[in-house]
Amino acid sequence: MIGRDALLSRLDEAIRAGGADEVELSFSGRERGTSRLANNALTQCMEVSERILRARVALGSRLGTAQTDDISSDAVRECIRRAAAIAAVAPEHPDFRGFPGPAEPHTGGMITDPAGPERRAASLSPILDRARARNLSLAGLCSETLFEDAVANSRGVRVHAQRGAAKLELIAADGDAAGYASATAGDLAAIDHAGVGEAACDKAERGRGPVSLPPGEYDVVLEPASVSEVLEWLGMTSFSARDMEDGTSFLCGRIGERVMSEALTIVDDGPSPAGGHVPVPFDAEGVPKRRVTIIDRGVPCACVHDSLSAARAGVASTGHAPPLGEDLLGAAAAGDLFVEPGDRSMDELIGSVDRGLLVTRFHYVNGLLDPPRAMMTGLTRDGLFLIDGGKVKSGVRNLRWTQSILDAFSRIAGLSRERRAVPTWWSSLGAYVCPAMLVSRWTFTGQSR
Amino acid sequence: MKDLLADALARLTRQDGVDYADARFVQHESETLHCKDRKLESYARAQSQGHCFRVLYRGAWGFAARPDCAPADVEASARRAIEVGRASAAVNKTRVRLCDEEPQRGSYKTPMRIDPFEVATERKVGDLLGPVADLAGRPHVRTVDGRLLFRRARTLLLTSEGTDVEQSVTYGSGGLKVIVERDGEVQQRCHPMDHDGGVGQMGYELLETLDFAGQADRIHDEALGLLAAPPCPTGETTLILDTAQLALQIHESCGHPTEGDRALGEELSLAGGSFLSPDQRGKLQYGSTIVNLSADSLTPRALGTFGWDDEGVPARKTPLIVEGRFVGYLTSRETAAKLGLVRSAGACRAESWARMPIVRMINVSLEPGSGSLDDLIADTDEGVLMGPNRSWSIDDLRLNFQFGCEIAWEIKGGKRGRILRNPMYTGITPRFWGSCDRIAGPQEFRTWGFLNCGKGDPVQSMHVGHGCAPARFRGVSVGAAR
Repeated sequence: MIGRDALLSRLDEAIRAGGADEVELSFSGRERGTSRLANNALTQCMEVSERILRARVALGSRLGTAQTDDISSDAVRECIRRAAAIAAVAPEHPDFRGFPGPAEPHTGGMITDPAGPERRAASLSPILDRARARNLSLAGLCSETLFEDAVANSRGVRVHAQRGAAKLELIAADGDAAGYASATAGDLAAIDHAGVGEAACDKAERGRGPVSLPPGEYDVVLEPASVSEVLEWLGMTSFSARDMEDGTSFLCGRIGERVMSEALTIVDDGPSPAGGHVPVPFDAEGVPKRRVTIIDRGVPCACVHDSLSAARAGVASTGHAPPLGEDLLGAAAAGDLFVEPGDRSMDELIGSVDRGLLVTRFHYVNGLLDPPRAMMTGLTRDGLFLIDGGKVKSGVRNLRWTQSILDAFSRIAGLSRERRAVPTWWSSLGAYVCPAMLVSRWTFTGQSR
Repeated sequence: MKDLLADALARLTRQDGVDYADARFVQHESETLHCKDRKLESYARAQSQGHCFRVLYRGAWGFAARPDCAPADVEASARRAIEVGRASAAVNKTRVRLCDEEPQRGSYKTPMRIDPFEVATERKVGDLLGPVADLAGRPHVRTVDGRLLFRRARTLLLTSEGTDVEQSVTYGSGGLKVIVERDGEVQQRCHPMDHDGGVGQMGYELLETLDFAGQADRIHDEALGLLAAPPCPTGETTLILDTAQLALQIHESCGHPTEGDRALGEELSLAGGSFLSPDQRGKLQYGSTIVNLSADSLTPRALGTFGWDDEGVPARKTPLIVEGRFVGYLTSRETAAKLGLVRSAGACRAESWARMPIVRMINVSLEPGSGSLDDLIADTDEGVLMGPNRSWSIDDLRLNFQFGCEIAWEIKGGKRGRILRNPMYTGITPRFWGSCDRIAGPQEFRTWGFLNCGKGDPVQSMHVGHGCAPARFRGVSVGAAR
């Protein structure tokens, strides 16, 4: 960690020396420690330091971008020079209105000293012993990351934040049966390692000797991890201004019209600590992250913007420029999604199902089948159980589903009042906060073998 | 830098408990252009460099990496890698062993005609913006995207066994995507395909192979055709896959399940396992007898081609499926030893200096048969021709898959007929490959690739190649994504 004053003064100095009309410098640094498990052993353990410094330069409305991980004064100045060289020959960008100006940022999170490889290994050791004793094979990941982000630009933006994020994800396996459990928090000390381990092992044991069920429509209780997978794809295919511009978002032409159950409200809320979410105060342009209600009681309301898409739409940026190094899509991204909770307990949700399925998580969901209709497919994984007479019975072999999520989420019959932050696989920071969800007539279209 | 790494590696190797160690120094360089409609949306150049140490300490791996490369940083990384290995060794009950490999020396450089990083910025902008702007003005076009990307990685690898190799790998990708809309119906068509577009381990001459200007009319016409097309009918039929879609079919249903670490249960925490378990090797009939697939890092201009993998195993070809039978795995030295194999397939690769190398695909390709695509169609009484990919999903053992494609054509009486929209097909891997009854010949063989194959935890992106000619499959379940 470099620290607020040292980092911002270095960025300031480079901007003053930059010599361009407008300069924006964004910094993202990460100190990451990971301990990966498989077959009841630690297999891939790492301590890695990474950072990105991005320079964007505007000459009038001509833009250029350069990136480096060398943050010496000379290297930062050279990075600005390379961005300026691109801007000098780039065509005018008609949507560019200047880099964002200063705004009061949310405050950053807290960081604590990382556990380090020895303490991570020591805290995983009893979980591994327990899995061995239960004749189960444990796989998973225990990770802790310290983030330092800063943005400064020639319009006076000066923001800096440090925060920590930790997660423990475990899969216990025994032949055809497997169980998944996870937890995420600001640091590893806040995670109940033994509790996550026991939950994964309990699921795997309960799933031994799974039965096969034919494809068809089943009422399902989706645990938060499975809701999160669907939410992630809704976010990637429909919640960005880019999807609206392309006409591929299911929100297109449906703003203000009820398209899902009244029980469903989805917001993107970076600064929120609710449900164990690690707050994210601002985006890669230094714009404070705003809470955006995307679906309000089943009615589409809005998408998320970065500064360019906001200018095109004639609105203010919502603070959703993608994180440095995770901007594959190059467009505004909804990375901190929350589903508002309901008023039922998990037991009540399961108890209200006469015959159906309890789904721990999904695997390989894909939402590109027909995005305007939110058509998706995916499979169950690591804990699919038959619910019979309101009680969880045997394990069930995995099934494939294919359906419109607009249709499926029109049939939400209940949400749990408890929510959990579920880590996303593609982002070291992102987590979606979801309740469990009872959905009638989920459409399963195939068996997994 | 080399002396610094070599000295630190030598000191590290002398420490008690160190079975093996390697050090990498990598410099990355990239350039990305994105045009949307008539605008240059972004143009970025990126550089990154860093070093890492990987240590096998009393049979347990430790890894540490950092971007700074001063002597004190290098020493600190080496120390940290040992600390990580020591922590793991204290917990583990088994020890990692590596299969043998001769120490390697030498260098590898991507053959290229035009260094993409030497081409003028204005030329690149013009080459991409021209065809994008041309498409943007056409009837019913909602948006047009164009992308170009070039990357280079210069790698120095030193190992405690004496390997000392340097490589410079340059590759590129590019593509166009047009989205059309009429009466609420939205369709897309890409050239040459969505996701990463057309790819190649080559220089700026890649642009000549992509021929953006020459393909604009076709993809616009086909996109308009999709707006008016009926949905792909549901049922079992004969399916012909074009090479772009077949490349992804190979990737998902052969490449991933033949990864040795998946077969050993070491990837359960993210991507899953494999139905190709070690006891099935040499026994399982994976496909029909015309199906031959291999892993090959020697294929010219392909994304998975190199001199050595990231633990110094030289480029080589390893059969995976021979006459339909499952015979081999993609392996590292560690997984090869665990699987009882004599040598690694040379498939241990890392995304960057900041990641530990893991088993990855190299170039996993299907051997061609005979005849042209037209011959294949003419030989088919009734069926569907599909491609390129639009959506993909496969279970955690790589058995049940479902793919959606951008476009399909009805085949009737040996002729390509009307366009069908939102086509998709589904199957179970060995049954599907078992139904393969004809593969087109070398004249139709094309090498594709993907830049962002995700695997590992933390996830790593990897560039991998796939070569194939169009192939025909009987009795496949097809339908429309509606």
